[in-house]
Amino acid sequence: MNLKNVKNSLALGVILGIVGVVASGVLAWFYGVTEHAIEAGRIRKTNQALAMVLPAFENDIASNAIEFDGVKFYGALSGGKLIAVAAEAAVQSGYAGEISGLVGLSDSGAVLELKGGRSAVLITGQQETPGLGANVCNRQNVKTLAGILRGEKAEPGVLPGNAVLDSFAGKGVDSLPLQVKKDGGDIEFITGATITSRAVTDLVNKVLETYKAHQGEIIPALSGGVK
Amino acid sequence: MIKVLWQDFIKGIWRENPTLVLLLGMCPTLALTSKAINGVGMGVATTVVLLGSNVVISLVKNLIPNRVRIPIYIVVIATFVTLVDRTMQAYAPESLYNALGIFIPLIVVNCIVLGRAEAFAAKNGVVRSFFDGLGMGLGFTLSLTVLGCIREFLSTGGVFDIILVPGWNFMLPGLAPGGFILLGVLLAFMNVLNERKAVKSGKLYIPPQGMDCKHCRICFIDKEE
Repeated sequence: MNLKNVKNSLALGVILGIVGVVASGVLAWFYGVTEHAIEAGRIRKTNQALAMVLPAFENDIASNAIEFDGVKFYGALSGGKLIAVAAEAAVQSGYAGEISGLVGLSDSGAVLELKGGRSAVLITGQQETPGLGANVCNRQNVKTLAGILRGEKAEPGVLPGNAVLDSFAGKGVDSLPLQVKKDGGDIEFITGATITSRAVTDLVNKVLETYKAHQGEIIPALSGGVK
Repeated sequence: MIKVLWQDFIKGIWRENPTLVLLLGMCPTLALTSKAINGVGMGVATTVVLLGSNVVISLVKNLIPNRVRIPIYIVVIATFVTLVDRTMQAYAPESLYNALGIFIPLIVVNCIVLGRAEAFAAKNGVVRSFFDGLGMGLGFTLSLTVLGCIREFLSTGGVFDIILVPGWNFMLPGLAPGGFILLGVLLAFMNVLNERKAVKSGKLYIPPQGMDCKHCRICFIDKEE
């Protein structure tokens, strides 16, 4: 069968229609095949990020959450008690738009200090300049050729360090508002990436302010565990 | 027969390299090669799409009316791109999918894929089209990886996230302008190599698509007409 020289508009329309139906059939089938894996991946991603900024917890944390003023709080329970809160927030003041991140808080409202002097601040989304603003946000273990040859390995259970993010460790609602050193505060910044450093500071400030304002509602709401 | 297939395969890697000779698919080439691993990921994704569309189009080429061939090619290509996109979303490493994210759907409008469908798969059999797609995809992957390695090394002092020169930090090659500059250098290097080879074997070197000094009219752009 050779349809190369078909010129009738109706026939052309029918052929295009058949192609469209076959293509959507294939896509519908494949959507079903991958749906489960993609959803599982999304949940795993959230849980992994939460586990990085919180001490060991026992509950299904993704479902134990409450939102105030655009900040989403997750409650980590251990032995039926609330041990820490993680807050997910975003600010628009980055050099290249939105910066979003997770902050782990103690119930008194201070940024948790994790193993190895790391702070519980993790940037989960940013589009800052690579090599400059991105260095303020990234926690990444630097692998060097010399290090690999010597057999160095990253310490398990310790987040990769980041001078700016780690300077938030222990800062709480009583030291609001936080500022970078250039503006007279005590948060580190990277020269040439002050805007990004300020934006990250804004993010932590936003989380702490919201926590301070709604502390009385957040703690009871998340302590219950199951809604 | 084997020789023909080998020719179809190997021409995409050097003689008709899609990025460095045909100059197709410049958008992903410049946007994604700031790191070597992104180049590999984009290259592999494009290769899979290219293989799929070449095979399907060469199989049904007699059923496609000439008048609506381009929309049909685009539907076939878009279907494969969506399959690749969802597969990567489900199974590829998180960081790679985040880096390539918005560029995967754009493979649909990548001229390499449509170009091979129109210029090769619509005129040749399924086996030859398969090898053509494989060669072109591999050529694309290789040139993206080479450009990615050069840009990553010059901007961070390492390749594939392994630092070779500690403390090196130079922003320009990692950003778009640096991409343009280094792509230009790579193209010039490729042309010099080809010219040397041609002179050595006593043949006249003909640059691709009339890009030689005789055909270049850039100096006369505002003087002509």
